[in-house]
Amino acid sequence: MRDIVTQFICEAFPAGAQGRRIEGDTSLLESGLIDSTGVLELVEFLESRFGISVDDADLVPENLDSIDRICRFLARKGAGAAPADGPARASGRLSG
Amino acid sequence: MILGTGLDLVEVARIADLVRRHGERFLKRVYTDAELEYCLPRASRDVHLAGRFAAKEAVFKALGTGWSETVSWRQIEILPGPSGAPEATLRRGALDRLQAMGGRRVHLSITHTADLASASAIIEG
Repeated sequence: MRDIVTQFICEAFPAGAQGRRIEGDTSLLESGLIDSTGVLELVEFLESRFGISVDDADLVPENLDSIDRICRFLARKGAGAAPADGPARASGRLSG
Repeated sequence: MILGTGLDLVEVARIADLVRRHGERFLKRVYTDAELEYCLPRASRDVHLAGRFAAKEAVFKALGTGWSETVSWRQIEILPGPSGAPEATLRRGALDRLQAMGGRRVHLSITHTADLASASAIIEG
């Protein structure tokens, strides 16, 4: 799960990642890894890839602003990875 | 008295991509029903959606909140006023924040090219 999320962030937002290592507690917004549009791209990816539903109340930095927080959020949501070759994977690549 | 300012720039292609890939789920997460009624029938739908997204982000910045627990996109509705210029209507957490900072009015401006949409917001107290 962690690897999938990290890979998505590095691939979808290469300008922010720039090949650097992303620590689990790094703030994705404050570090410039993703921007506000990227938050929405991230949410859509998590829903598609892990089969969860993100409600408005879930859309808060506490759930989404670091890889550690995302993993804890996915665990609370009972996330399971969707098939890697299914349609969800196709939505994992977003242009920046 | 100016209490806050915000400026935002959005790539139209990224909003168009979210709409194309995720459709209604994305649209309902960000835009109010009235905004969708205004934007979706238009030939330049994606530009209008991107402009509104930029405007909401600009208002976030003017409110001094950014993306936060208390303010989300649907709490800020951007529609043309009587003159045709865009006007922001704030609700719930966004309105609470505006009132808490003593804001009386949000001034808004949106501009765009085919590729980029930008908006500025000024909160007057």
